[in-house]
Amino acid sequence: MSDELDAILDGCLEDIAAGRETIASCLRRYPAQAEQLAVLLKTAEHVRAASPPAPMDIDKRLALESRLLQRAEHLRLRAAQRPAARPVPAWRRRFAVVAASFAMIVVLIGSAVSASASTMPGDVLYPVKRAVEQVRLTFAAEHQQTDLHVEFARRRLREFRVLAERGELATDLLDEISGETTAVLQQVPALPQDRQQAVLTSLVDFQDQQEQVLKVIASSAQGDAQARVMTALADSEAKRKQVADLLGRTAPPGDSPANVSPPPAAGGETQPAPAKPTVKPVSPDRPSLPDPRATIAPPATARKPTPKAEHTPPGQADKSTPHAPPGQVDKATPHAPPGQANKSIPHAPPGQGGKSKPHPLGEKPTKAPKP
Amino acid sequence: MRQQDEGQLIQRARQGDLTALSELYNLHVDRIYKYVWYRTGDDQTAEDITAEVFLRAIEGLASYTDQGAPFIAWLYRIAHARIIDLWRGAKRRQTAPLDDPLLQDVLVETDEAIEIDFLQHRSLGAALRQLTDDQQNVIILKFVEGLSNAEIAQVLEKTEGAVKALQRRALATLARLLDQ
Repeated sequence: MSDELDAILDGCLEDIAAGRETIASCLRRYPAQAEQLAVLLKTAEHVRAASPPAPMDIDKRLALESRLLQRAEHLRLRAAQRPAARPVPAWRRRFAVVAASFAMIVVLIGSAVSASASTMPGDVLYPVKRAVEQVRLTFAAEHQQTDLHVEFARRRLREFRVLAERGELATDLLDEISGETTAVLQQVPALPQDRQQAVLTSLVDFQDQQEQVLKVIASSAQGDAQARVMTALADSEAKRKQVADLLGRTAPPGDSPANVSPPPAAGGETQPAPAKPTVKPVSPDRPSLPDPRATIAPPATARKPTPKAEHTPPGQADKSTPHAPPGQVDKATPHAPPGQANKSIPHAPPGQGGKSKPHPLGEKPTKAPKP
Repeated sequence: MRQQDEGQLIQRARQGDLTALSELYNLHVDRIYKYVWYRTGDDQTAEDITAEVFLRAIEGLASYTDQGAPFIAWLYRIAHARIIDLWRGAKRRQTAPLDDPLLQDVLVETDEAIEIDFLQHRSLGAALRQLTDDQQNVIILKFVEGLSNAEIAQVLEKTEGAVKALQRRALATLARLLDQ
């Protein structure tokens, strides 16, 4: 019965809108439903006949358009920089392709996967561990990928620390850590509001750990190895500022949302700048990535001769430090966290008309657009 | 705009063509603003949410996929989600007496006295906002925005049959509210 009335009503509405019928002719056509139809059709006509509200203020419309185009350009530039931010050596790419295929078989078997979980670079099953990570990332939902990137960053840091304790400085792991954290920062803005806070807090925790580890190692490293560690510390600092900026924008309800006018000053929490290590870098020139197994000087109590790290001739720029330049986060596009009203501009709560003049549909007067 | 033309426009916008992006914006901003305005009843809120809709659209454009629905259907969904967030936020802060929006809507302060007259100041918009979320969407999208049932179904991710049923219930409820 309801379905029949739905279909009759919809048909009448369509015919009336097309000018093929009138309300009266529809009621004559369906006498059994005329009483119900009359109310519904008249109400629909009432809504259709109501004057529309005035369009968006022309100045604000133009300002929003300008802001959108700036944002789009910023995103385009950031995407263009992304490949350079995560350089992967060719041998590792080829190796990852082979290992990923192998890892698929291992996952089915299961035992090799669990055994690889605690391996370190250089171990036989370490490639399996890395391949499993790639598989997890590939099949993870978008909102889970940030968690994986943080987890992988923690793993690389743990591997770096363990190797450093053995006297090996795997600086390529520092590059990978930077790549993981860069990926997190790029993906955070697309996350739901409630996830952003959690991910950023997790990232801050990781950065604390990373900086602790790097400061200890920097104090005992020498030469190119020390320079690499210092670079990683600087990268971590820059990203900490980005995280602080993002945390400020994703603060709990009560903060101001986006507005077409220039954004308010960021009022989020700020992270104290990490204390700079007292050891100075050896040279401002950054050599290219040294041998991953470059050694660091062992503690004085157990000093023994160790081979020097290989490094490229001076003058070659180090292009292996991927990190977003400080301040790269777009400050021109404040996003209103969901559910937050603009406190700076007084207006009636949602669903409630303002104090403007009564209007047929929502009590809004029609106003001419500005020239 | 034909689906094919719109698809090309979106593709160009994805590739960084700012002219295409500007065109997409100008094609849809008025409709989105109107939809949000009817849902919220306030100029400033409508402007804020419209801005957020298009900013989020730009950020998500790379992952947007054409599933047979017009681009505006996607924008309506973003706008709808933002409106829901706004209501949830207002409810959490308890700044809006959601149980009596008509009272707030008709409160008028005059030089002589504060007068509350439901019969005099009742508005279609206020009645509209008494409907359920789905009912509001159907009424606004169908009778204000002029979308077809099929398009509304795509926006709301419902069947056309469900849209027709919502339409009938919404009109019946609206008629009852306006007669009170």
